[in-house]
Amino acid sequence: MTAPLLDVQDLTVEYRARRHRVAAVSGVSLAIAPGETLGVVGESGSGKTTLGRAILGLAPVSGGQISYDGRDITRLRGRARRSLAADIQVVFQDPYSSLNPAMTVSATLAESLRARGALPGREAARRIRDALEQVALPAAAAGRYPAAFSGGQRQRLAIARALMPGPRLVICDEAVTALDVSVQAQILNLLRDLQQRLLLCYLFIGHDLDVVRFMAHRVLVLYRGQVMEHGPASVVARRPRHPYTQALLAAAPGSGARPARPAAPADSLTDQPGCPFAARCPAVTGICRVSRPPLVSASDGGEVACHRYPELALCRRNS
Amino acid sequence: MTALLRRPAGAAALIVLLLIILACAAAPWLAPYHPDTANLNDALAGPGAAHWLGTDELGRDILSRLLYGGRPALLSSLLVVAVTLGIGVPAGLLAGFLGGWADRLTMQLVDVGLALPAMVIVLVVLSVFGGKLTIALIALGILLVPPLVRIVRSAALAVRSELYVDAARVSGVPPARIVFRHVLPRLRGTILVQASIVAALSLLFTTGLAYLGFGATPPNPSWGSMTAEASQTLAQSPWLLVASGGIIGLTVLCLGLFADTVRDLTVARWTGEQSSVRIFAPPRAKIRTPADEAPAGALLSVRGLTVTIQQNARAVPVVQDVSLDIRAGETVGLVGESGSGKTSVARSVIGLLRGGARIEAGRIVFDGVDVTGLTGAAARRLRGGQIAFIAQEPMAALDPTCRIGPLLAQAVRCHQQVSAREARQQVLDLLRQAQLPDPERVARCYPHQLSGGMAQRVAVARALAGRPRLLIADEPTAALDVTVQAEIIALLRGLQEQTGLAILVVSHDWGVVAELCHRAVVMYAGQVVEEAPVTELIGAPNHGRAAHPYTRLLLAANPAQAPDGATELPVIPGTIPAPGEWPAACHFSPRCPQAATSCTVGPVPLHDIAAARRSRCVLSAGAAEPVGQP
Repeated sequence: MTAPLLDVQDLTVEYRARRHRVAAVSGVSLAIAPGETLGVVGESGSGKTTLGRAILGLAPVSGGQISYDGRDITRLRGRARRSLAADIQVVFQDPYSSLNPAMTVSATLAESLRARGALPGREAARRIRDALEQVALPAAAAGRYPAAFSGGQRQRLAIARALMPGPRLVICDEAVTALDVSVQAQILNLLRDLQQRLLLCYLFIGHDLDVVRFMAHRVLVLYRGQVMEHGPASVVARRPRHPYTQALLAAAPGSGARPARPAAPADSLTDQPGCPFAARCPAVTGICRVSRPPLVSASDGGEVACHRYPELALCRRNS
Repeated sequence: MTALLRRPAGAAALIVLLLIILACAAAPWLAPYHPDTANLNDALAGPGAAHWLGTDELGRDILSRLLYGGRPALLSSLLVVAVTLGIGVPAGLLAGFLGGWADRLTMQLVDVGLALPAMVIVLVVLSVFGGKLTIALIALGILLVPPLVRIVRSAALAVRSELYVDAARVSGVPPARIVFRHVLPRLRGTILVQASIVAALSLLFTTGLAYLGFGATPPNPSWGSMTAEASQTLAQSPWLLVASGGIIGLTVLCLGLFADTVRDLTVARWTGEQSSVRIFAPPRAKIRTPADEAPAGALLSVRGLTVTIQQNARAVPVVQDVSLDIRAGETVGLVGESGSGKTSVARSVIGLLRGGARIEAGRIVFDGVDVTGLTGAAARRLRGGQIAFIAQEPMAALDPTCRIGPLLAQAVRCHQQVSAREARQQVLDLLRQAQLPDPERVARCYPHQLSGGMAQRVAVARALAGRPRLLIADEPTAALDVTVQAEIIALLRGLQEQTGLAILVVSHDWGVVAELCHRAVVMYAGQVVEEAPVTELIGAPNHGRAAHPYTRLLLAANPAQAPDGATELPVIPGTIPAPGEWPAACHFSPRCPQAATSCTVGPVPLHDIAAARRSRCVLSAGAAEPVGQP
């Protein structure tokens, strides 16, 4: 495997909630190779968005290390951080809040060019036209305000903005969640196509296992800030090893299978010593409640954090 | 500017303001008399040919004095506004944008500032500085800073959390530039309104000061001192006070009107046309009713429903000729993308159409009774009673200031004459029916103490309070996590089995429709394009059983259908046309890969293609077997 473009080691992000500290992301490690897409799947409160924001420098890192292209960027601030803007970009979930309604499209796009330094007006105009063409929007869009565009078109604009400085890594935070199915398919195809042409690297964050399976080469499953399992997209999405991922897959509507639901989870985010999924897990045993399972490598690729993984894998093979 | 002219109040205010300012500036040339020329023979004259606005007790011409007196009044307002905005806007921006200690320090200073008595301090300043009005006005400007800081800060806080500010940070935009490019322009309207308030306040304040003897030195005129003088001759000549007070009142009114209009216009430019189009209450019209009757056995029957909105004084349809039936114990899914009109259909049934939309034609029959366009008490009895509604955002649908118990008890007592105690008991039963663990505890909770899934269960419990026979669920699980979504679906299915409830689910999610519904009604651009039992649309190999190309393409666009290693999803080219831009012929024909010339000839009727199946496609017309891919 080539040297990873993004390498995250043991990342922890904590927020202060009244007296105690709450870990939104706890000990997460991941790596993305050039041209690769890593999918991150989780439900609300899993820390997937915080993970993306920490890599973008928008969330405070309390522990661990983030390296980009071999360089430690964990705590970069000010000018040094801003110079990274040319390399790491983002497409947010909400196409309505992610574009400034008071700025024309060309002003928004021109602004994201700043990271590459000042450009003469004519050159900037050409780059804006090219970027709009890349996302299949007419050049006339440049002079209009975001309000004139539909949700799907706005998401194209957000992608154009992210591409302006020529980044190598784009973080897509629920980039298609707010869109209708047919528009979602168009945007997903666009993202795949751009990746091919521009050799982009994606960290693709989502809650829909099917969308992430289509987009990602490898998938990482988060629950309450911790990695439950990761591995090749087809393995994680089709034959998940971790009971939590299995529950996610079973719950997806239209899947047919409908196992008995565990009771609603106790809504306390205080750190418990054991596995974060223990309270809802159908395969829970004594040890799950007292010690946090380590990530161990799995036979069909990737790693799984489950005390009972060896037995469960054996059961599955025999059945 | 042209937009401003289309708003009569704002345009008139601007013109009056400009006239006042220009007239005051040009006073030496415009004024018919010198402001100090006294003529005791003509004292306290009313308005007339010689003196348009009459004279004061020394016989001086009021019009001339108003023109000259406007200068000190307007200039002092300008000074106060400049001082207040010059300090208040940067302070508020920094506090709101930086947060942390800068915010805490600023807000503590603001709290102190708000406690100071402005008038007393200005008077102290005046006495210390020997009656120098300029210094007193600067002091006044500073005293008006704290409320402005609070308003600017809270507006800046709201903008700071917008995603586009994060996007600018990621783009390497320095903080100072973010404040100027992204935060400040969004606050323009707020600041403008505040400036007009400060200007008005200072105008009134200087009048007050003049009344107390601080102001333009006599005989120099100012609006304030003229009002003070007029009040002394109030008994002999009330007109004087009308003239001097009137000009102050007029200026203050115009300032407010103008600022409000400009604020509205800046917002309208960012949010598109909608906010500048006024929504009129639609006139009640005779609703055309189609002839065909509802089939026997249908609990709800919608026939030929057409809903229109007003756009540029034209009625534009958002729903066109929609018919559907729901039997007791049946779940029907109304499937479509945004802009298909599915929500308008659902809202028509409960009589809660929004945004000036109205039923133009059609008939809604519930349990044999025509309920089309029902209003008033009859509509309220039906809504929440026989027909219940649950919304997409469970949290937004619950009043945050009300505990769950009383909230549900209110719903129970709306529909049944029961004692408070009996209502409480019923609330616990409802919560139990919605399978909430520990109903007693939930009844004591406020909505924010519940998770999203629990809140949706509470919404279901509330919907059940009126013992409904039809439940309309608008995207009931779209805001929920997948595992919670599965729980809500299971709950709705269980309730239906127990009570024989009919359910209309509005959704864009095929997965939800597959899990929950017996029949699917697919909408595109305001029309029903296909209706079929869910098992015949979903689950069949390659969705070949869908008769309409739109349904087939929509099903195929779902990434769940993509095989592993697929690099491209099948897409529908183009976008759904906006209401008013629908083709006269097949609405889908411009995007349809199978479109033939026969598709663009004229409107395509919805026709039966098999038992319980209908399609609005010319290609499936006349064919008993649905046309599809093998």
